Amino acid sequence: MQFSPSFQQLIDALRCLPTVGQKTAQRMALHLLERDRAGAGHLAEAIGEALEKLGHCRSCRVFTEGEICPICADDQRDDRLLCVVESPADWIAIESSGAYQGRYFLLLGRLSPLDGIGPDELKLDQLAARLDQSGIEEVILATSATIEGEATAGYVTELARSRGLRVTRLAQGVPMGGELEYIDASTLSLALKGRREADS
Amino acid sequence: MRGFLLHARPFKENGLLLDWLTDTRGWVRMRQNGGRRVKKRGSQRPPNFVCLEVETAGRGGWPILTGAEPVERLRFLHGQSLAAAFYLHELILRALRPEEAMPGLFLDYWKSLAMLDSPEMPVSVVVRRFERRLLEHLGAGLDWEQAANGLPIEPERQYRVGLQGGIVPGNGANAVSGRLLRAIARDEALAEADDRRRARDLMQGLLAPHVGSAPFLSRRLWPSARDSARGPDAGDTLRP
Ligand SMILES: [Zn+2]
Repeated sequence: MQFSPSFQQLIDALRCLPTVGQKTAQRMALHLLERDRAGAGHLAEAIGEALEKLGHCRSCRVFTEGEICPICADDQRDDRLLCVVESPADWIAIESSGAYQGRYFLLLGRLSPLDGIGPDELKLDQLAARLDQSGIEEVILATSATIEGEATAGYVTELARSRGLRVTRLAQGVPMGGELEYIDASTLSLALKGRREADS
Repeated sequence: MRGFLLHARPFKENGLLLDWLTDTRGWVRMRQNGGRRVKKRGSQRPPNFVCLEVETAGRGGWPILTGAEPVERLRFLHGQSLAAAFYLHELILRALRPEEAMPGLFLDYWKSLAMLDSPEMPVSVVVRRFERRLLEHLGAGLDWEQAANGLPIEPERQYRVGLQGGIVPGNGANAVSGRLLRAIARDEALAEADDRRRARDLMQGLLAPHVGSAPFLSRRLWPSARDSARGPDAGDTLRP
C-alpha cells in the first residue's frame, strides 16, 4: 500500500509509542486527522513544549521546567525523608499512592554490570552529594525486587550508612522480580507504611 | 534441561531476553513473553541463584520460555556475595560461546552459589576457586600443586606463572609465592592483603585471553571499593 509521505511519516512516528504497532498507528493517525484535528494540534504542541522545556530537577532528577521541581520546592514536605527510586515511572507510582510526604531522588536506572551500568554511569556521586545535605535522617529504598535492584540498594545503603543515616526498605508485598511501576497503589502504600530497616 | 538465570534484559513490551547457564547446552539465550509483568502471585521473571527446570518452545530464533520450576529452595544473595555473583556472571558470559555444553562449569557455578550463601566462606576464596575451575573448563587449566619441572611447589619459593610455560621457579615483578599458589590450589583463604591482591591479579592475567581485559563493572558494586582501604584493591578478605 502506498500512502502519501506525510501520512506515512505520522504513522511511523506514532509507532515509537509502547504497544503501538502498524495497525494501531494507522488507526491513531486516522483518528487525529479525521475526527480530532484540534486534539492533534494540541498534542503536537504539548509534545513540542515538553521536549523544549522539561529537564531533570537539579536536586531529585524528576522532570521539571525549572531548575527545581515543585516537590523539591514545596516547603510542606518532610525534609527528613528521602525516597530513592529507580525510574520516573516508580516515582509516579509512589507519589500517586498518596502515602508519602517526603523528598525523592531518582536514580534513572539501576546498577547492572552486565548491561555496562556501574556507579559512574548512574552518577551516584550526585546521590552522595544529596545525602551530604543537611536535614535528611532516613533514606527509604524503593528499588525493584530484582538482583540489580538489590545490588543498587546495597550500594546506596553503604553510602547512607557511612553518613550515619537510617536506611529502610519497602515492606513485603513487593514481589521478588517485581518492578514498582507494575504494582498497584494500595500495595505500595502498605509497603511504605510497613517499611523496615535494611539488613545488608 | 536445568539452568541458572544469569541475566535478564527488557525485550519489547513487557518481555524479557534471558541468558541462562544450562547443564546440557551451556549458555542459552531465550525470550520470555510478558516477563516483566507482575501478577497477584508474583513476578513472571524467573529467580536468579536457584537451579530451575527450564522448558522452552518455538523453532528458529530465540526459544520461548514456557516453564521454569525451582529444583531447590530459593537463594538470596546480598552485599559482597551478590557483587561476587555478578562477577561470576560477567566471567561466564564473556568466556562462553552460545550453546557450548559445559556440564562441569554448570556444577561449579552451582557450588559457588552455595558457598556464597554461606556466611563463613570468604568471598575471595569462592571467586578464586571459580576462576581456577573456569580455566580448566576452558582447557587452560594449570597444575597448581606442581611446577613445570615436576617438583612440588614449595611455600617459601617464588614462582612465575604463564599459560604456556606453566609454573616455573623465578623472580620478578609478577612472581608470586608458593604459599599463594597452594592457597589457590586448595581453596584456602590468604591472610595477607597483599597476597590476596596478587592472587586476584594473577587470575585476571590468566583469564584475559578468554574474557578480555576490559574492566569488570561488578568489581565496582561497592562504594568502598574505590575510596577506602577496605576495598578489593586493598585486598580485603571478603571482597572479590
Ligand atoms: Zn526535585
